[in-house]
Amino acid sequence: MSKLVLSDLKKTVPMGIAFVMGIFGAFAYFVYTDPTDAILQNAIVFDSVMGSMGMAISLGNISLIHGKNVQRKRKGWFFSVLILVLMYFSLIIGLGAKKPYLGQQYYGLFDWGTESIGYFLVIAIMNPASTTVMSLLAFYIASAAYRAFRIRGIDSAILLVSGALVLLGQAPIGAYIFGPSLLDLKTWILSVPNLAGSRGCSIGIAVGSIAMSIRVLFGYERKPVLGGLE
Amino acid sequence: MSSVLIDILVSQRPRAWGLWPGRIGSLVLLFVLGFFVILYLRLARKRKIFIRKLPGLDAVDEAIGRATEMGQPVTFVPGIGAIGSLDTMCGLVFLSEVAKRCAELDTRLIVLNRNVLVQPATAGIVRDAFRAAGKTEKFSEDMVRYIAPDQFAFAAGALGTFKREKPAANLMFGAFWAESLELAEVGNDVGAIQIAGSSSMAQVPFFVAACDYCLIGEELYAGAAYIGRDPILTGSIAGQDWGKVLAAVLIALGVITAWLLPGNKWLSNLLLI
Repeated sequence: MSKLVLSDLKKTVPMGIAFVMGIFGAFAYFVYTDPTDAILQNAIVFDSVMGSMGMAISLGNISLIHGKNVQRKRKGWFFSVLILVLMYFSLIIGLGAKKPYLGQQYYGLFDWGTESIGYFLVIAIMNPASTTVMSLLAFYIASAAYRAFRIRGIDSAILLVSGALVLLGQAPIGAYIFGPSLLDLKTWILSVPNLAGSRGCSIGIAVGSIAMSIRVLFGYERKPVLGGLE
Repeated sequence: MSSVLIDILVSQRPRAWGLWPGRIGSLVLLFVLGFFVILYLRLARKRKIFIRKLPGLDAVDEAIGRATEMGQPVTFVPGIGAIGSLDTMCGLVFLSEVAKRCAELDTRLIVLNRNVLVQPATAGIVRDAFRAAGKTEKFSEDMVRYIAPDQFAFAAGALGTFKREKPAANLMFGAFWAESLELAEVGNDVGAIQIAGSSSMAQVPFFVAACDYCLIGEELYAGAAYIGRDPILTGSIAGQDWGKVLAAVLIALGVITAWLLPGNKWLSNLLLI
């Protein structure tokens, strides 16, 4: 009996919190009062606390997965060692950087003077690596465009023609070859059929998001709130 | 909402309390739409409401079945958005159904996360699905992987996972940004059946180009209601269709008034009260 009550509480309490906070969020969007502002300020702090707890869980997850890789000598286990060493090294550096660097809002717990190493890790390793992965997009766009622009029917033919016109219109050489009328045509494609389609989708998304919010708020859609508690 | 933004908003208030100016029209529209959605959620309890099929959703079963036959894993990415994002919530709904089917068919599932709060939620959902299928022992913690908080560090980790694990099906539902094309192209490269869904209109073209099926815009929200085959939830889709009818009527009214009374903005002013 007590087990049954406990399992019910596990579901009803999160659903109740989600309902109250959801209604409060909607209320605060439409109505302004001093107490709502105070609660919103606290909600921001609470969000940060939750984020820190989530980070600890994620740290555990990474350690577990890569620790198992190393323990069982799975293929590429050396990279798991590298990830674990770098991750904990960065953690120690972050904990020891008491003085602010790189415009951070949160600082380390100890004053070990590791700011310059932290700065180096971010500026010389993290940012270039991140930018490198981002720049792969240029190549992927080319291969995706090749597939998208293959003519398989009337729809893809229209896509190819309009895409080629916009592409030429955006590039300086297009206007040089075809004259200013190409620029007018490009502007028309972007601001009339393209914008109309895009706004149609946006209206659908806005309506769909309200319906989804109502389903979550009133407990019809329970998975996002309950997670694994069902 | 950041504390700085709250301070700015507070400084703009005309009184100590009241309705935010410019949001009353939205409030009325919200009530009207909410009425239709709740009405159809209730109507769906009494009678079956017809909803057109979404090919992308029917293909989810096919994709998981293919992975089962090939003995290869299914990868699932619930986007890179925060837990409070509606797209992420849709991703979690899709994940619960995908995990349930993977558990039933004994198919290996790999979930890749970027957000620290989405990670425990996805782990809970997958664990719950395996428990519900009576296969708790088949669930392992490394099925749900946290990769990295940085957008492109996450992308690099996910691409590496695709290359190493060679999934037969790659499912991506949620909030995506620039990494969407990289994930979809590499998924395509390893030969996975790919089904994606996003409400970001900047990312949908990439998914359309590189995936086998794509849920465009609001189809993601409709799909979240439809995928569980719950007749009550599908009722809400009929309710939101009335919202689109309302939007179409307002647009038509706006076009007619702009045509008959050029320069007169009474309708837009009314909506912006």
